[in-house]
Amino acid sequence: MKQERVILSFIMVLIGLLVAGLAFYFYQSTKVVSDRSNASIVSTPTPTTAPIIFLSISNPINESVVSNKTLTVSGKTEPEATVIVITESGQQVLQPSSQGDFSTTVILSDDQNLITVWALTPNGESTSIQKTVTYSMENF
Amino acid sequence: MKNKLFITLIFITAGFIFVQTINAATLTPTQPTIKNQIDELKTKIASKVAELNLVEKRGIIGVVTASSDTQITLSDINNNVRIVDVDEITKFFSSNSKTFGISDIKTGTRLGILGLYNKQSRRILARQVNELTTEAKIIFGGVSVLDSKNFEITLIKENEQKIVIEVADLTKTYSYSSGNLVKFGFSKIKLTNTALAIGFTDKNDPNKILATRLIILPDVDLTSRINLAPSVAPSIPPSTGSGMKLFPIKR
Repeated sequence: MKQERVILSFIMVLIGLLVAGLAFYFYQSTKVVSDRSNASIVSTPTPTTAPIIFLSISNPINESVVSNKTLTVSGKTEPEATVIVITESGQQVLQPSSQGDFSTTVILSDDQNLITVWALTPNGESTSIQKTVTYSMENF
Repeated sequence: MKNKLFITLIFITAGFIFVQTINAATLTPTQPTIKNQIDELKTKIASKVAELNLVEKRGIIGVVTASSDTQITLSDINNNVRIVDVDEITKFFSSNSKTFGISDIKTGTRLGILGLYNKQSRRILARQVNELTTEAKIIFGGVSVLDSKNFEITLIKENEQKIVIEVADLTKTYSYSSGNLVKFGFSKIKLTNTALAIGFTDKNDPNKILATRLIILPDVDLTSRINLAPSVAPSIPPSTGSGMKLFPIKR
């Protein structure tokens, strides 16, 4: 009788461990990482004085290095805006398409080139973006 | 009772053995050598790709804020602090000096850097350092003063800053209207015209630009934020009854 009780206790302990182990396994496998942990990382955007008119440059990429002297400058702005592309040696004035797209080519000087794009609306609002493009044939 | 307990014990033991067998079967690869080789190759390729993607050629322009024998700190065109490392194979170029080197770089020097940008450390290992000339200023504003005698115009910006633009013989003046960019004379410039001036700051007057290019934009109106009305400032101090002039206290 006493021996039976010992065995029974042993079995019950084993069953208990097994059940606890299974419960833990299922808890771990079904656990979903909540997005709240990331929420603390997201900072509140500070209000900035956003330009009144929209201007984005799709090409060239800032700080890019190119091996071709002819460079396409393209982007998007307000359809009614006047776009002025200024390089160290010249300037081009463009009218964007009805969708606001514009594109032109400029000739680069050797080494670093600073390309400034201005967008001006008929009511005098303005914004500008500067990009650095380096012309180089160096291999390193 | 004893039999029942014995059977239960056998079942539990069998269950454990079954679970262990399944685990062992899933963990042990069927073809260990080939799979290991594939995994090893994948790891090598991934690390090589990561290494190649970690650095890229970049060119930046900036003004020196600090320099040492091995490092230059710049403020780039977006006013970001950029750290440039210099080593023994970095080449230095200047149009002013053939012996231009790291020791000639002073605070305020404008440099163009070409090198390898490390995306992880965000530093550039310079392969070429060029001394650049002063950056051209671009001013957009409304014409508030026309000085035909000195060939100067004053542009007022959105922030109400007034910049005097000197139009010299070398200044190329254009007008952009109805989609055409045409050459333009100083005499045709009108008050309240909007203009974009490109030039260099006068060494003697920081509020004066020596224009190399001037684009008049008659089709672009003045923004409502630019006020061309002359500021009402009392030039004559108010008089007291005793005839003494009262001047404001200047601190």
